[in-house]
Amino acid sequence: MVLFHLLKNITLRHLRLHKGRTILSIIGIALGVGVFVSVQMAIHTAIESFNATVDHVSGKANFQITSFGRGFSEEVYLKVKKVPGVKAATPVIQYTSKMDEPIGEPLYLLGIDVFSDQPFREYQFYQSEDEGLLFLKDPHSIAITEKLANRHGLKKGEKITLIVGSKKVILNITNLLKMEGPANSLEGNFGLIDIASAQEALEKVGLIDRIDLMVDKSKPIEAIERELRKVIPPGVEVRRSDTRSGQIEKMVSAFHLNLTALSFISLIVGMFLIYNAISISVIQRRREIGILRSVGLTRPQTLRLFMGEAVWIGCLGSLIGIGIGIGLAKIMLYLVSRTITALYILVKAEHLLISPTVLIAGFGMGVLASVLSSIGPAREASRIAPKEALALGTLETKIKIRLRHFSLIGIGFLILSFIFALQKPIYHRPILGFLAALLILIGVSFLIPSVTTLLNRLLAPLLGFLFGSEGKLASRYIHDSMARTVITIAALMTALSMLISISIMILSFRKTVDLWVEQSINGDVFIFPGSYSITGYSALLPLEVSRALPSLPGVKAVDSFRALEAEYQGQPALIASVDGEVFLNLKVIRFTRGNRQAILQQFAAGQAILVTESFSIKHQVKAGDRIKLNTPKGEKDFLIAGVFYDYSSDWGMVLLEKKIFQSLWDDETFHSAGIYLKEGVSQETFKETLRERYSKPYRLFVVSHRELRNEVLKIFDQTFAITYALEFIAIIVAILGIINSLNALIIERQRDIGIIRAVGAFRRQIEKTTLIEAGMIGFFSHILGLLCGFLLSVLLIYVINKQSFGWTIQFSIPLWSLIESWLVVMVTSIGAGFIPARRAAKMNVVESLRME
Amino acid sequence: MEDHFIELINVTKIYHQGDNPVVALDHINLNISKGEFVAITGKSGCGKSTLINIIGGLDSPGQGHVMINGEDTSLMDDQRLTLYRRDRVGIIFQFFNLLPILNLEENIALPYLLREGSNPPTAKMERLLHEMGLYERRYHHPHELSGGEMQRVAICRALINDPAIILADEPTGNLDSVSGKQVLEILRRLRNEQGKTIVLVTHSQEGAAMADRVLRMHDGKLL
Repeated sequence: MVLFHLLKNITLRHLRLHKGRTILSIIGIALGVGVFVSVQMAIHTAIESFNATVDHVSGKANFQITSFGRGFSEEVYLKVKKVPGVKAATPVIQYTSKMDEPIGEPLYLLGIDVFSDQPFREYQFYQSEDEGLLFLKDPHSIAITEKLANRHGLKKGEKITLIVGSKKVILNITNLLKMEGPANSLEGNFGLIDIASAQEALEKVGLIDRIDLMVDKSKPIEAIERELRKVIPPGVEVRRSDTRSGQIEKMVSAFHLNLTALSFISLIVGMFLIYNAISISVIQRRREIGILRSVGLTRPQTLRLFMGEAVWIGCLGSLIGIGIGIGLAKIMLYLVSRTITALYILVKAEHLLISPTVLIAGFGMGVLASVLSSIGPAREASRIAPKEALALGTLETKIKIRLRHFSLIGIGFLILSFIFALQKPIYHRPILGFLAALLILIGVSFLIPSVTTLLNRLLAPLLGFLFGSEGKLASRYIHDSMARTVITIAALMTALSMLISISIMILSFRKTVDLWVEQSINGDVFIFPGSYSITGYSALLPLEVSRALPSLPGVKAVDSFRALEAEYQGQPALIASVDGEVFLNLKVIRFTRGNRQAILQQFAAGQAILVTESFSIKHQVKAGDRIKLNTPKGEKDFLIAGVFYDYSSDWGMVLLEKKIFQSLWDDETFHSAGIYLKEGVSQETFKETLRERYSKPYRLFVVSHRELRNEVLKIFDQTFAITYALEFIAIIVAILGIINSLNALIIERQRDIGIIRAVGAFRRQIEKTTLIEAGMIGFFSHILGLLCGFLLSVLLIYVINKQSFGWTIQFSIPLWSLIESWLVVMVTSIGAGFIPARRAAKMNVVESLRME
Repeated sequence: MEDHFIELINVTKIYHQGDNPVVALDHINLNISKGEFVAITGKSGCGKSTLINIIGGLDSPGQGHVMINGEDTSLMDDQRLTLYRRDRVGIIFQFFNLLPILNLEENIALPYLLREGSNPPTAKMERLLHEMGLYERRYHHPHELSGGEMQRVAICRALINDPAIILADEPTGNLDSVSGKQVLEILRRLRNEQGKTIVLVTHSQEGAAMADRVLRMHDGKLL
């Protein structure tokens, strides 16, 4: 009750009185919470949208027979439906095609057998009986959703051109589907076709992707599962429908974790802001606290009073943050969906799912961050002795910082972070690596007083020389207000160090990927299916093209590539096939260890397989080990010849020699091919030949090596756009910190400023001093940000990234970016000092001198 | 009068200015009876305020004992000392020490609120405000009051929890002579009508004249 009165009568009034400071602190927390909420909401929406699509198209099936690869024989369907306990079964073909330009959007195609499918999925047609028959009669019919039709002005009776893999397929829109059940998949980008049409379009005659089953629940499920396994061929799996969820979570878990960690940066920076705001409050209200203590306020009450202030700021900031988060989430959803689609799997989510859990978590984070950051200053407040009430004259504003003590603590934290960084991942995730990053931030923050004191001492003569008395005064002020300045520098340093470390990581990664593309993907012309950007590895080149490629005029060799999205030990993995001879003779493959020639000879001879570095790290396997893979010919044992560097996917990839793969999977299709041309053959001429031959029936994406490299780097840059967006917000929060801190310093120094003005300083001199101080804060923050950023980047590259994705990245320093960031920091810091500087310059001399 | 109501036994307080020790109180022995009005005088820096701070539980003695009605405050922990300040003494400062953020009534109510968790009964508050001539200005903030008014607010605050001891540290030092006289008159009434024990630190002859006993201090010692 007492606390409530005090909060109402004192705290709230102070918060209102110091509106500027309160608002800045609230914005700080609000932005931190906003970023967190928006990132979580975007990922949640993307995942849920994917899961909803999976659920919609799975319908009421409680068992599924699936395989990875091109599918399995439709004869399996005939066997399966006879298994005792199976009440209903239906074959399915599913495929994500691309609607031809100008629409250019993905279309989820479900090929069904209309009669057997009825118990599984409910489709509501806008149709008459005749139209229903038309769907069955016309082998080129398609039913699309009303949403899709409305969006693109498509009508019944019109034709729609789809790119299925590489093939142009023209279908007749015979029916429109109401937005129910599977029609909601991919935000309405859904089409229903007859299974026979789908088989023809996908060159999969006689093959199906999946069988959906409904089993008699009164019979033992395990017994039915056992019976099913008896009739299915090797490489085909029986799955219960309830195990299908969680697929995407597994795929994107590393991405999710990294983005979550990144989204905390703004909140951490916001914590410094709260710490600063409460510290300022404590320092300014020392006398008030003394009075309160002298009339009977106990220490715990004092502590709660100031923590209560943080709770107010935290609650209000978090509520606003949730609003900001929901607003930002729409943009974030676009960035997240684009990245997940580019790196993992197609997701199309337009409508934000507002998850109460995410909102509550965001609110809780904001309040918790505020309360945690207020503990220090609130404890300091509770230690104020009642005799402070008697202190007159200038209020005691200096907090003594024991430099040696702080430095030792800082070094201690850094040593601890080093120990954490050396530890192994927990459940495949760099949990201790992230903790080490936090410890680096804390450690370097403790070093700020010593480093700032040293730099200030070194710079003082230069500042005096450059800016005269104002420079000397600014340097002196930095020294005298160390306790305050340290927190401001810590906030800006945190934001900058993250920016610098992530810039170093991204540039290093970009250079590594660039080098990898340059060396390892070294054909002359590359050919992909037209829908590859949407459908990834499931899009295939037409057999006509892939068979003809080696014999086309001018072709020296074809580096074919086929990848299956599979699973290895419960984790998503790629099983790929390449031409061993091409690898041996033409490609530049870099292995983590071992003799390149020997490894590739073994591989080309079909005696062993290769695995990527990420596969090796994720599954703890190395050259010389043997692994077992599920194939259509049963489980097979393979020797790993070598581990090679690869940056195409963080799932990890197993590479089989083409002949081995084809003999096991009976699959001669390619996803893509790199073509080596004979000497003297022009790339452009060859590209033209391909276009002439195949552009009519197919949509192919034919590019030169340079174009491919640019495309890879474009996707790379798009992927990291989200990172920069989050960083940008953290910097804004830190800049708010500078304004807040300088404003507080000006208020504290009101009497000093009055005296200086009284003895003859011009307003512009006061202004200049404050601006120099702001610039110095920016400069020191950048120097410390560089130190901290460098340490963090080493951790990111060699620990966090390696443990998350399994990629070795060559370290490189983005010198130009660092110079740019320095300039930006200096300009923004001085800019942030402008408002406080004006305020200082405008102070009334007489009133300032009256200040106690 | 009850003897040994406030008793200081061999109280010494040493401050450190850098490496130099400054003796603020030097082996002070003092005995104040219940209901007694004691004035302490002496030059600036002689230790008067330190003495009153120690009696009021604002500061701790380095050595010796401070017995209040038989209880040794020098042995009290912070929690008990806070309760002592809140419930048993009322302190009036030279510079009023009102909270600028609170209005007059709220400033007065503060110790009561800290004790009871609620505002004091209206009747009690109104009686005090009327007695001190502050009723009309009860919603004003400190910066809207004169020095005399501010000091009367501070006296009301000191009285709100009905403490037995009133400590006044140069309460007239910052007031004009008329206001100063008013404040001293109030203190006299408090002793005479309510039987409060009053310790007054003062430079003024008038203040000293009002006391039952005048103690002089010099260089931390009682003369």
